[in-house]
Amino acid sequence: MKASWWSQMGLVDVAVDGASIDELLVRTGRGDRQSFARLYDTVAARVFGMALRVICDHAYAEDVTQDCLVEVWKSAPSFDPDKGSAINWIMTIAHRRAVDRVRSVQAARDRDQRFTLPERDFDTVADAVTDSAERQALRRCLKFLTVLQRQSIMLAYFDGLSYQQVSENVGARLPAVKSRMRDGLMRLRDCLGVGR
Amino acid sequence: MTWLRNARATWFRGAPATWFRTVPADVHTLVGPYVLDAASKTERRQLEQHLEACASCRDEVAELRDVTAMFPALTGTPPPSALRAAVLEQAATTPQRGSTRRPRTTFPPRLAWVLAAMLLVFVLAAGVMVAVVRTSEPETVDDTAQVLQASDVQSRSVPITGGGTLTVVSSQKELKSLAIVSDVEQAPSGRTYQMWQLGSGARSVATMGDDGSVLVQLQPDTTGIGLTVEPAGGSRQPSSAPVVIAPI
Repeated sequence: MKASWWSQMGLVDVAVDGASIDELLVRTGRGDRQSFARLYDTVAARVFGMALRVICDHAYAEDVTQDCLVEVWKSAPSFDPDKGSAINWIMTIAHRRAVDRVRSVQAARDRDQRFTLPERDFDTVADAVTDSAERQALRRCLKFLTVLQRQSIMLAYFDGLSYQQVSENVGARLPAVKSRMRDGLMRLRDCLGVGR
Repeated sequence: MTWLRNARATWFRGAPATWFRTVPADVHTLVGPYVLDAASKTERRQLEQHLEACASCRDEVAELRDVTAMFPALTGTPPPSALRAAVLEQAATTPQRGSTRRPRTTFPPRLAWVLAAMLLVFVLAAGVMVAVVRTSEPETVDDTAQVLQASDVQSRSVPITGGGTLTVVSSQKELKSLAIVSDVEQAPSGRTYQMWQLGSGARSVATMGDDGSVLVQLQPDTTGIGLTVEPAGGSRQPSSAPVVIAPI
């Protein structure tokens, strides 16, 4: 610490002092820029990776990541840790922005090829970036879903498809897709133990 | 089907009127698509109206969002490193909602004149010492004016850990910064604040007991100005973590 800070040439110190994402977001809400920088370091890879997966375009994904994190900075004073976790709060903003962006550019793009790959392997890019225990738990729990539940959820979340588009893709009726999304997520919730 | 209507009527008795007015019967089935952002904007609004009147539905949405918030762990990818600077830069000039804190600002030229005037008043009225690092140069208010009137003048204010603000008004063209420490706690007894310019190393600029301003002759590689708390008299090299760093 003593020697490291100035050799970083003016970068704010990003040493980990054990602050949780919740704490960093609360401090960010008080205008603490160093905490915001550390929050960025903690969540940027997740936001960017998700945006890149949804949008399939590097420049757009960077744009969405920047938009999202600046929005996090702007709205941080309204974050209330009693109402939910910071990561939930941040990813809600991030995913909605990514999906809104992909819908707005969708008309100009043929996405059909991507529709044929609903069961892709997600491990190819994630190594060493996000907590592997979290990833392993997710992968384990995803196996407990039915194929229709898993496809519906993944196509919606990672390809940004509307549930109508999901229904066309998996060849299931709309009510079935809607309820498979909901009960699939509930099954994941129970398996992951994230209930309150 | 009369029995069904009756049964419904009985069940709904005492329910909030909003259930009937604004919510289509099957709106709750949208919870899955809503949490996955797979519903249309109209449906989003419908469900959000529904959520206002239904606490258990809000809990359900929040719980399912805890699940989807974990999904990005599957696709984590570091963004290009330039994005970090771009985000921090934009945040620095963006005010927070519901906050009265002033953002760091980049002034358009005309505003810079107003700022220059205000800061000159501050410098003169406060009677603070203006120290010039390169002692060969004359120590005058003209140097300060030179910075403030430069066409590329930029101002950054960064909160100091423990209270106060470091404001750095810089001109890269003139290679000068006016560094103003305000509202800072007095340094503990036997200690002093020491200002450094940071580049390939840390160069001491000045020591100060509390508020003050310093005109800094920047080195070409300087990227920031920082403040540490040091033993009285100052140190040759920083011996503690900075309480603030303002990038230039």
